[in-house]
Amino acid sequence: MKACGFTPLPIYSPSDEYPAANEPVPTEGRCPWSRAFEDMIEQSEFAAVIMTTTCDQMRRTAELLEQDRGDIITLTVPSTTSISSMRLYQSELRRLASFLTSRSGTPPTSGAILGAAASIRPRASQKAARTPVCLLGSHLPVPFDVFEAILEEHGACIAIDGMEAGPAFAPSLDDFTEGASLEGTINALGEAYFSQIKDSFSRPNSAFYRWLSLELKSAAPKGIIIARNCWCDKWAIEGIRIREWTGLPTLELEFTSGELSVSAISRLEAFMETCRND
Amino acid sequence: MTEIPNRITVKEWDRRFAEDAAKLMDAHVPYLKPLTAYVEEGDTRLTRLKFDPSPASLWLWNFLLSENERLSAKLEDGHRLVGTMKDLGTVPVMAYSLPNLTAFYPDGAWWIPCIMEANASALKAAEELGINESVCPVRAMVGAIAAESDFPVPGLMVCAVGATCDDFSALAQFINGLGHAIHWWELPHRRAPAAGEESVTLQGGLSAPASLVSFVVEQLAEIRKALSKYAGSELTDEALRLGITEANRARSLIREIRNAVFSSKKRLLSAVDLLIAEMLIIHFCSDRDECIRLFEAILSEVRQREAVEPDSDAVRIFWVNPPSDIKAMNILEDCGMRLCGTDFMFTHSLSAIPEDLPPLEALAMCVLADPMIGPTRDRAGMITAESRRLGAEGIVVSRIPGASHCAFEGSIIKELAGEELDIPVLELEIPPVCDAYEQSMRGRLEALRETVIARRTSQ
Repeated sequence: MKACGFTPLPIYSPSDEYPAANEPVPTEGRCPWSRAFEDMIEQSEFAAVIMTTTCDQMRRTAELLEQDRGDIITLTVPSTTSISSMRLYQSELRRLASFLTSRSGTPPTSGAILGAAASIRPRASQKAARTPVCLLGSHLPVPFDVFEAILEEHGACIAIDGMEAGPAFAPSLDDFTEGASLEGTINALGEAYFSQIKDSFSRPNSAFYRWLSLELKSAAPKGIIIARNCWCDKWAIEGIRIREWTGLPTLELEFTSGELSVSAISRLEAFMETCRND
Repeated sequence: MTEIPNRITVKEWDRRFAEDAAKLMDAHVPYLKPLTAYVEEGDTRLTRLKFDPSPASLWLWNFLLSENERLSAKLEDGHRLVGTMKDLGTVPVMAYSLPNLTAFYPDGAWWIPCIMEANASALKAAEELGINESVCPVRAMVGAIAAESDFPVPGLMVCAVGATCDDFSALAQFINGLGHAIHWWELPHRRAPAAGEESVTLQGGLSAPASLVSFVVEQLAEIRKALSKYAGSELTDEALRLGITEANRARSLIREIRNAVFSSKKRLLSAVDLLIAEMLIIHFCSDRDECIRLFEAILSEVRQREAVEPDSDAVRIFWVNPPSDIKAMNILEDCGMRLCGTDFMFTHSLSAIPEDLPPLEALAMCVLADPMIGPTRDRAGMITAESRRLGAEGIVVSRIPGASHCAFEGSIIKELAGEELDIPVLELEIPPVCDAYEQSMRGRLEALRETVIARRTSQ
């Protein structure tokens, strides 16, 4: 995106700048984040919108948004990890490059891609002297720093930031080098990203558990918070396994609307009490 | 007056079992027994259903309900069982091309909570593992595998993920986490070809980039290797071609049955029997040859009725999605309506597999025609076109509790069918046992019928 002249804006929660326009009306089977995202896109003016297939709710939301607009592209991010799936992912990145070029008029160059890769830094959590917790999950109803501050107010610090948009799943691009051609550079970028996917949506998701095992040993959190939206089947079911596999106190914080409810905060409070007393 | 079709209960069937069994003597159906035998084994929902009264229907239900016994017998005979998951119709075609493999869909466990009602130990087993009713009824699959109840656990499981339901994907991963090996393969999102991009035309008038067909061919090639290794013999192109030919025989028969039933002015088959017959096509109910014989018998029955049944003025309904409780099909008919078209989420497995292409390429084209992997608008377009062709007077979209696609598709189908056909579209959530909601369901279906009747009168 940067190499094509755009400013990438990852959106993983509503914010003051991009609020969810309407209070999401609970719809049976539809996750409130997908509804909030649809509202945000419809109310805002972005030069381009990139969505992916990593979750069914967002895949179908992309279909709704694509119906009447030409500024949206849905990238297939494979769930499986074979070489053939990697080649599919690389071809999707090439397709993304064509799409972005058509929107900006600025075709990417290998040098621009390399420069953009060097400038991307994942967010860093503050690790204050509080009860360490592991945070997993997808989208929050409030910006991450707001959520982090709420956790700190209740005595927690995020020792492991395993949110989907977080540093754990941002690949290291230190070894990424320019290819012999633009296509080669895009392919190399694709390989760098694909080979480091360790999200829970992968099938199998053993890489996620290997990562989690190492992090738990290193950071020794007192508990795990799984922040997920209502109707998010992937995290609802994964949460069961995580709870049993880790044996740690686990809080599933489910968001049913576009805000962090009083009951959710009460549950956080009670959970932190448990973690401190354990 | 609301016209009710001729249907039969389990008890009535018991009384005439000897007579019906005699009619099927020449067909040699050794597993035929009174359906109350299955009720005694726990399939208690049968006592609340009404069935088509034909001997072919008795055969159909026996074939369906004896599947687990058949799978166990196949194991004892030295067959190896393949659990195919989510693709709904393609991988079994490959598996049945090898003589010692039998494929079935563990996904089918999603009807266990319906058929077995409170006896469904699979659901209880899933709950004990922490998977509750906020997840689609297919969670019974996890319980059935974990508890080794309901069906033998297959030695090889082949699961499609990617552009599939998140709950199924997560449940399959959960099964993997319990220690069951799974051969995963990518079912990609079907997107429209870009301008100038090489494309192919699929069934139903859909199109896809040629590059996606090539990708799926690679996926199927890996599945072929896995099946060959598991079977202990190579799955050659020649064997696949023969397997495709046989699968096409079955598909041709079910298409004929559907076309005859849907396009007729007469009631030719009870809705619940048509639902079950149609579902058999995805894995032939674990016996491809027997499935073909059964379809021939059903088609013969349908043809005979075409000659003698009176015309029906029941309201013609196109039904979308399999109902979690099959009793909904009886209720539809009780309300004076009949099926004139269906999309049970596997229309890609009803069409003929091309026999003039390399076999994996032909199968890849079928995979990509899956109505659930592309934009809902594509599916809505096909439903609208079929509804127009078959003269549907209304559409019912059956919502499956906990299924994410249901949250999106109803409004899209309503919008498209409404614009193009101007017929009423009703969304109806149907739980695995709908008894507590039956009055409300009947009320809504009756209102739909009244809307259609009023339109008929005014036209």
